[in-house]
Amino acid sequence: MYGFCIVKCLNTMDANKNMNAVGVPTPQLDAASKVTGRAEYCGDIFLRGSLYGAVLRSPHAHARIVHIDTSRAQKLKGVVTVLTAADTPRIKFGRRIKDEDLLAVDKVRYVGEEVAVVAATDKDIAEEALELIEVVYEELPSVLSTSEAFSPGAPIIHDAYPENIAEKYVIERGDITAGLAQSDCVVEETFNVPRVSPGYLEPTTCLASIGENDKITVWAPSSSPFRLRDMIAHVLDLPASKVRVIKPTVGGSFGSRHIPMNALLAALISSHTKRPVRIEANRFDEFTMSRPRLAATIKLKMGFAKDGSILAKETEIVADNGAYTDVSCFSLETTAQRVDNLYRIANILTRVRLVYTNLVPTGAFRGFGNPQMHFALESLLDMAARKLNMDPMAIRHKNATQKDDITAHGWQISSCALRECIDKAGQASDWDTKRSTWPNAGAANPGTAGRKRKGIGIACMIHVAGRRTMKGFWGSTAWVQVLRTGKVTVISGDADVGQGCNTVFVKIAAEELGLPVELVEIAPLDTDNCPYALGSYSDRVTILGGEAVRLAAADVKRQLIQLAAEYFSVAQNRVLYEKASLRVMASGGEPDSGSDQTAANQSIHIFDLVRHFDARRGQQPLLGVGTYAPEGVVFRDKKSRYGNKAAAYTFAAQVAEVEVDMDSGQVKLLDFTCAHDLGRAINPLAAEGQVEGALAQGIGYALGEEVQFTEGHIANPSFLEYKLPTTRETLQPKVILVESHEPHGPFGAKGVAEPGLVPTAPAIANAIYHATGIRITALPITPEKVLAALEARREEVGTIR
Amino acid sequence: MKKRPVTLQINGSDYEVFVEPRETLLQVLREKLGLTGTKQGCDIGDCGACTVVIEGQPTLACLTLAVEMAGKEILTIEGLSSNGKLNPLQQAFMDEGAVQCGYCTPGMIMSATALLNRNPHPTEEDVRCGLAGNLCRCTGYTKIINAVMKST
Amino acid sequence: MNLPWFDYQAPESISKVCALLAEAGERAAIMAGGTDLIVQMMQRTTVPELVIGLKQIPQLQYLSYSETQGLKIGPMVSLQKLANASVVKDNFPVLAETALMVGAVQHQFMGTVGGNLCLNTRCWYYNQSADWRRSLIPCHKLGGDTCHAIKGSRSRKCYAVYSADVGSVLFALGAHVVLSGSHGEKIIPLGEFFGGDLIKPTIMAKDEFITEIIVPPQRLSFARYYKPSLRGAIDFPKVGVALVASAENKDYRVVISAVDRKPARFKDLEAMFSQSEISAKQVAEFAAEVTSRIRTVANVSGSPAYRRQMVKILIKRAFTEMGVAP
Repeated sequence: MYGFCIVKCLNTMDANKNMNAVGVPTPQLDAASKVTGRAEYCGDIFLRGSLYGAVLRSPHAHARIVHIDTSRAQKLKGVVTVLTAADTPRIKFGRRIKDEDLLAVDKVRYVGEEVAVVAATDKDIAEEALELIEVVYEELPSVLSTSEAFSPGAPIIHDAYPENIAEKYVIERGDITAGLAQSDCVVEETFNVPRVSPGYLEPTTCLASIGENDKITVWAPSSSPFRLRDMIAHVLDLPASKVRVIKPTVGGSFGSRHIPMNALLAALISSHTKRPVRIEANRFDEFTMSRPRLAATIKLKMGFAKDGSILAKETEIVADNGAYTDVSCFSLETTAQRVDNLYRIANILTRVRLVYTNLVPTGAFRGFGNPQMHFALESLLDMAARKLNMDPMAIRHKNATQKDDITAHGWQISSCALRECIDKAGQASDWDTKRSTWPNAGAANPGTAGRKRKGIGIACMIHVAGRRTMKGFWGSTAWVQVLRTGKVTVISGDADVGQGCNTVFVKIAAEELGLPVELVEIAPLDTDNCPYALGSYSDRVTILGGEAVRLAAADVKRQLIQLAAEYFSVAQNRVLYEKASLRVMASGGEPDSGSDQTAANQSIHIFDLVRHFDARRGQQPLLGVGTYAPEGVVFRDKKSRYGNKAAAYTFAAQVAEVEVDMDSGQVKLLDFTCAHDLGRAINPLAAEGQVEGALAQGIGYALGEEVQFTEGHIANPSFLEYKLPTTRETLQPKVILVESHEPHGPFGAKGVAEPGLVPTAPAIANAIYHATGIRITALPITPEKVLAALEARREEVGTIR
Repeated sequence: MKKRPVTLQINGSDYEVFVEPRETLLQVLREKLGLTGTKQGCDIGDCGACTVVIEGQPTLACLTLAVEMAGKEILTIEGLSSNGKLNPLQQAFMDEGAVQCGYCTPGMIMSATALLNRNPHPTEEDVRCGLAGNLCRCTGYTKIINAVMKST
Repeated sequence: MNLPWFDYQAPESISKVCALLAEAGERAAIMAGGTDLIVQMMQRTTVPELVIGLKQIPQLQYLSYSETQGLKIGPMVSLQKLANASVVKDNFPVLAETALMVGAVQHQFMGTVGGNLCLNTRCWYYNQSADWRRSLIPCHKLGGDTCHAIKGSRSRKCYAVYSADVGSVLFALGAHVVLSGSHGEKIIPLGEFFGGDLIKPTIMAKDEFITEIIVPPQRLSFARYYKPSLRGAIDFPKVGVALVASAENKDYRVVISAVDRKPARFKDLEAMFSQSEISAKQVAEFAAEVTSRIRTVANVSGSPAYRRQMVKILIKRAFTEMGVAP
């Protein structure tokens, strides 16, 4: 087993005395429908007369498609259509590198790639039809690792990239040579991180249907419904106005369901057959479709002064793109740059290469390139602390980025409680005592202290809240309506995929308007009826979406003040918005306005005001619009990659306590303390939940999860063989929410969705190092690796019994 | 294969359905009876999302043939609340923040229901063992365990 | 995904099952709890024409113990029932403990002792969906003549491994099974039961099925099963090690699961422990010898080298916990 449990109390935030909704722990708005089974996910929606779609996938890692004969499949009774690339506009797509096709055109480049789709009147016929599609392949030699991709004469996966390198570049700051030369201590190591799968519980079932004037409606579990809409339009060569996406309740996304392939295929089938269709995904296919985290080999060298100051950081990253790029070019940039801003580092040289292989394409799984590099740097920092005879907490504290810093990459740190996180995590975990009393990692002989040894380790992290992902408008828009029925509706296109942003939006609107949360609702997400939104990623929905909601609510207040002034026949500056009512003040704001006592101290509730004008002028609903993207945030310069690229930055420190079985190599987690700077906890209950959930994913990344391959096939495409944590592997952590009050976020909030897993793996690796003196540099840290390292060390230092 | 009639006792009501032997209880619940609260996660018994309670026992509906369930008392998530009122376990899940995306929630609550029937005062360890067959990717299980402990 | 079509019968007596099996033979599959068979059908590794369900036969669900006859277990007794029965906890606690290691709670309620005993051998190249296996030529288990776990097709052996926890412990306890068919009944010790070949590891014929499992009465001084797996639930064992030491004869039975198509036991090596005093040195020698006779390949969770190492480590751990000074 890789984890166990001890009862721990959770730290919860005290509700802020001045706020009614913000800072109050609130269950998710739709929790009642979820605990009763009423919540409707895509798979729960059954369209009348729906066809059943099935997907034919490539059995080869790399092959030329010589010929596809669908005639036998077409003739099967009950088959309505069989479609291949020839039936599509064959428009390539991708986020920046457009290297992907909806259905394979002339080649397949990974096992599982979509080659054809069938639509039939039922599931059995559709699956039988798949067997009748004859595809003649000419197998090609395949590239099954990044090192193979580099070898001379390696097969070329994409003709446009003859070296199999999708992207390569260098980032330089300061003077790396001087930095290393000045260093009193230089440490270097190579780290390896594998693909890991998002493992959301809800399979990617998508529906599509055709309406009036051939407009396609798609139901999909997407975290970016508008981008999905635009992508459907792009690949089918349709105007966006002919496509509508509806996002029902979603069973998790973790960054991997922005543009579900099944949604594109369902739209394709519906547009051809003019009938509704349902495409389900079985769990085996889900492992292929849900793009896993970028795998990489990271060579890291850092230079330190005697006092622990970081003087230089030199990195070489070779990242495994898989067969298609998708967002990996962006997550690689995160790997390349983000952690550099966690500490004050002036001299940086980073070389990156994004390499094609004939394996499942990698994507945006939670963390977006950040966990990988944090594993490397936070592990190496520990190694350096050891060499410098410094406490690992102290070396981090010393180098920590602080508020108002402008980092080497030009990031403007508008709020930062990193040092506070480190201090709080240290206190709560009793770091000093355990660090000195638990077995010392420097002990020459790991065999002496009995079969189990305990260790404590720390890692820190930096993440973004709302990265600017385009040159144009990159923020959020929200609408807030006040209705005659005595309710307020928030309308946003930023998607709730289970993380609870709908609840956050409602609380923000309620707070701004002074209403109880029960009187605020959120509109269903439908691209026909909501403002355009970029979606849920990059921890942007609270800071950008949330602030847009607040601004929309503020806009509503302004309009209400105008109406109240009219209602009471007073000047606007005498009207005060107070606790969801409009009250007339005794005198106006200007010094010489005289003392106008008209309507003094009269007040009207906002709903009554709205109803009053509605009855007379039909003027409703009252609609507020908020649009938000903070100033001073740039879209990264393609060459220098310099600039302040996000609305805000989040920080954290996590402390792991482990017990290692020295005979079997099994690692048991004893405790975990997580201190997270999230700016402001709009919903502390949900914020804790995000940290706890991400922590579990981090534990999986550290100790057991890995997408394993055999000849290009995923060898473990099931929840049995892909080891994501059960209740037996996790524990009750201590979660400390630290509020640093970010000026760019609603009520000071930043984000907290991704950070929970970013420092977890190195914290555990560092705790294992403390316990045993062994350093594992490849994830996951399985008992196999621990035992092998212990044996190697025993051979090195000899055993004393 | 000829369908055969089976009467299923679900949440206190009788449902007569015509099923092929190969239809799983999960399929019958979701596709024939409109009881979509029970979720499909993996189809092969690895994730627990389809857990229902049959004669008091936590059972994976995806590995249960509907034809074998005639005459057995089946309890699904839809059968827990009465007259729209949540039962204490459902309320605890809500209040404790144990629900995020909610997809594992029905199966998790059914497993917890069966656990509390067997053992009304479980320790945290008992709860972890009782729910070990129910995967959750959102919560890390922390608040789920709090919710179950709270409702004892 | 849909299951394949099959006919289904749920006879109400043992003799009716025998009659069905006599008629249908190869075309039928017995279904106990369904937790193995239904998964195999979903993945199309087993596609029977007829499924014979045993849930309607009360005679298969009993559990009893006597000093003279030992523990008699109906094959349809669930793993949870086995774990919670006082006759089991009092007389063979190792069975109760092991039953709670299988899968997760749901599998323990649904799964049966008979089903666990008859668990099909497992391999990463076999236990996959039909689609996954489509690009590979059929291996030995699927009627072909190759093995994908060993690269290159010259292997004449099937490396799928027996991964049943309770089944392995029953074997270590010297259990027998009663096989019923149209021939009547025969009682077979598990050693013989597992005496099949690489395709069919048990000698059970297609027209017979298990109607009783008998654990002979015995006084044990120690009995424990060790199951290293990456997670604490759901997983099959990377390897399994059972140590059963009898109080009277001082005989020691060590059974290793998940390294061979049947639970492995090395009686000739166990003879090392004929003296009343066992030394740590003997245990180490035994463990090393056992490990040297095992061949693990990369076809289940856990690296082959680690699995062999764990056999050695767990044998030593078992003897230490039994009382041999380390």
